[in-house]
Amino acid sequence: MMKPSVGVRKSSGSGLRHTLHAAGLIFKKELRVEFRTRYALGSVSLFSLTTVVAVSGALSSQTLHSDVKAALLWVVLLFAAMSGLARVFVREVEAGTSDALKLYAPAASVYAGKLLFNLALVAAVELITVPLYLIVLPPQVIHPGLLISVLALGGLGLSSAATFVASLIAQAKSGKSALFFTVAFPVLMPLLLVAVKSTVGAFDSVPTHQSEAVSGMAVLACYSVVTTTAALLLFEYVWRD
Amino acid sequence: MDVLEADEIAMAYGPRVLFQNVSFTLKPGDSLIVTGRNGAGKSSLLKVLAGLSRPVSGTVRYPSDAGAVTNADPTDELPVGYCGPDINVYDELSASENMVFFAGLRGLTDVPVGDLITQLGLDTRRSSEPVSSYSTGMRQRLKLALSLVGSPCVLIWDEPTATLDSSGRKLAEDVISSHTSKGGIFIIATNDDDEAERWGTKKLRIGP
Repeated sequence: MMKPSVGVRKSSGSGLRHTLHAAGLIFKKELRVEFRTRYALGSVSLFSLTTVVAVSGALSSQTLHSDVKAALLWVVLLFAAMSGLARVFVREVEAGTSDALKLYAPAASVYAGKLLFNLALVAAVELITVPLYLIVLPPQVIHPGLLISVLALGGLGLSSAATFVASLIAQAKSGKSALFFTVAFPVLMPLLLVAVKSTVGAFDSVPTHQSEAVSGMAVLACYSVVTTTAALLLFEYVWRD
Repeated sequence: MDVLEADEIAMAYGPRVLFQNVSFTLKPGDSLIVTGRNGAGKSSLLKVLAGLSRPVSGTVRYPSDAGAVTNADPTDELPVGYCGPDINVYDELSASENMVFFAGLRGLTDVPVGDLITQLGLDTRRSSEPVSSYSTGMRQRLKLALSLVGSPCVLIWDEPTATLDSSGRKLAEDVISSHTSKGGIFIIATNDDDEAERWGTKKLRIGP
């Protein structure tokens, strides 16, 4: 055995560099565990597929306005993503690995690593759901650049807020799923409303909708910055206490 | 500072006080045995000492060359290796992957993972298998090996031999004597009177 070290962590670099390195390791660990269990990806893929098929089956004979199509798309995306996003922290607590993470990893790196994984998960949900949705319920017009931008910014805000809420509810003794939806709903509602409004602009050619979409994207960007910053500032207290 | 100081530590869950006014000082080479009946608060005290729980009051100061380090500092910055029944490794990863992952989180890249795995008597041929296929005793050996990552100067083990066979107990004893002989500090909670008698240079009884 090596001689016991008297001192604090032997960091490979500065505090920020170490935190980023640890976040990368946690992200890679999440991916590795997910590829071996396929729990989150399996459940969100199945949810996306069944919801899109159910929606298309029920509404195939209807002529839907772009605002209804935009709302339906975000409802599917929201609930598909939510079915997997809470797992990142709930799994750690239930498996008893959260204390090990507390002993070895800086708190900010835990949030950042989990956020990166949830971002990847939301991106996967969008890659599965959106093309399928556009095939079964094609809008009159599609502005691909606008749609991709709204999906990217909306996905970032959704991941950021949901990751923080997941860290809060993971400590609950029971009813974690119900609690996750209850706490996340008011936090995500403003994001959802703006994302729907912005997506309408990507689904038609009405000039006012286009300008609303552009200003909506600015709101989505601000939402993501605010939730990520607040989560990084508050996470240490949630994680330790 | 090269001693560990616990000063007036108190712990309570709601109105139920587990312990209070717990104070001690441990010098390099000391091993403290914590005893007490079930539910007295041994594990709670060890989690406070590891930085995993906040005490109601009191402070723990750790040996450090880098200024004052106390239990108010981030848990991952304390010079502590901990193994307890409520801490687990990732079932989906192998023993080696777990060790490399946790060492990497501490910024360590040159950890002798193979040596640590061998030291705790884990079969190196199985070190690439997922931990989910391990027996309870093998998991415990891995958790003990993990607590040695980075050679922390304070080792805290909660009931380390509860699930180990006789060879595992012998290995654990070897680690304890090796660590203390090199100037490390050991803190162990146990219900085994024989272990308490043989391993501890100091004793602390929690509760009546």
